[in-house]
Amino acid sequence: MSHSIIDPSRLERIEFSNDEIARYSRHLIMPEVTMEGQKRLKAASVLCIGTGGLGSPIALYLAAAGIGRLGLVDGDTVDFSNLQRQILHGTKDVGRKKLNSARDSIREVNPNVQVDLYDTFFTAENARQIAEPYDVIIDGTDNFPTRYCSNDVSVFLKKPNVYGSIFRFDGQATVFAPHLGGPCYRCMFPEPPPPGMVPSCAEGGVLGVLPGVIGVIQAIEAIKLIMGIGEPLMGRLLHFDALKLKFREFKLRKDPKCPVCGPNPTITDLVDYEQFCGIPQAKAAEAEETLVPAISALDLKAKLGRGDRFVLLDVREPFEFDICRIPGARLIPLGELAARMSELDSADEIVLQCKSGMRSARALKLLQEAGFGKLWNLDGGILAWSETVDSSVPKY
Amino acid sequence: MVKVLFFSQTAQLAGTSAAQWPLVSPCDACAFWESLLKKYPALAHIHSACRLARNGEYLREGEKIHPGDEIAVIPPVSGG
Repeated sequence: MSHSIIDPSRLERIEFSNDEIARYSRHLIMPEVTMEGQKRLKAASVLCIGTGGLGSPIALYLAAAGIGRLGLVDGDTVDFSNLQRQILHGTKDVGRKKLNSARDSIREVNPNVQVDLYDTFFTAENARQIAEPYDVIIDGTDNFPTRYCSNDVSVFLKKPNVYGSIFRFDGQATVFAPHLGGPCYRCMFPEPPPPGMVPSCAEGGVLGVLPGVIGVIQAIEAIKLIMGIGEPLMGRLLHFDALKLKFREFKLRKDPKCPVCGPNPTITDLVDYEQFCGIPQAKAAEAEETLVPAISALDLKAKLGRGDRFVLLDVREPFEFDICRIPGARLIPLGELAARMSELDSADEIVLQCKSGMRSARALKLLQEAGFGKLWNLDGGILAWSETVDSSVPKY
Repeated sequence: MVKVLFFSQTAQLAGTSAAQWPLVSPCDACAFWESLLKKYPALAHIHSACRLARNGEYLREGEKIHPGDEIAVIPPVSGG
């Protein structure tokens, strides 16, 4: 049995209406919860960073459970591609601010919850101010800079940080709380991966139900910390594999050399997390890499209309080609291009195309080095083609 | 021998979720990675950010890997 992080003095002024008593009755009749635990929930405030795949179940279940105050941070708008997993948002919400859609869903579930909206992304500039009033920080973000930022601000403000993260069919969850004797995110992963090497949900895909499992685990952990029941997932990294349906646990320790939570910290204030994760450097390198002869989607359309003789080469994967294609395009995936170059004629004019223009820029350089001369990269890839030329081509 | 378990992206890059690894005498994490990367060069891009767990516990600095151990290769993931 652990101690609640909610000071008992805060429970004195907490009261429930008869409707609330009925609403929470299945909690109240458990000896582990009772009125005491439910009061702790109502007295508590939780900050959920992100209202996407993880944030959706976290916010919905915490609201339903009767959390008193729920802060939500997100600067994004709802997109069709979110709906497969982000159950805070519905079809009618596409194009709306995620925060507004989230607020409406939460009110529908439980109007007793105070919902604070932060229509912004969580950065070093605003993190301290946003996080300060809350008892628990829950990390439902989707990128490394924000994860390190969320960790550091939680360490500095001495607040537990309930971590969850997903990749395709796998998820991770744990609780960071150096002030309670546990490790922090930097003890677990001191070094961010090189930018672009770990795909996001948008790049690598994700099973829609997966954040449901991981987000619900995060909500459970927040509730346990607040009620002071059970054994927190502290010092243990939980790994979930949906395909094998296996949970595994790895024991984590505080890193005595941790630059943030160790005894001799070298980082004592928030830093530039984009810089720390090498994002600006990677963007500059990417700009360099895509610096190749380019053709716009509109110019490609005009070229096709004129009946020019050229090869339109799609370098995406076959499963992407199955989703959508530009009529007349030939498929040679980037990974096979070096081996299949003999299928192309270096005397031909070739327009290269992928999803957004990165892979095709690489393919262009590959062909350039092999002596091909008349090469163009479709700027913005098939996404730009769908956007500016033919909206009947689906975006994915 | 040690049993190596790959998780998430490391399983994808290695093309397998488990492998038997020849090891006759204790070695440190550095030497282990060196031999692992020879067989699975695709891991090189992210290995600096990955962590190893030995028999269910994060490997401590200086801790050796022994024959008979189960070693988990845990990559950072960021999706949300």
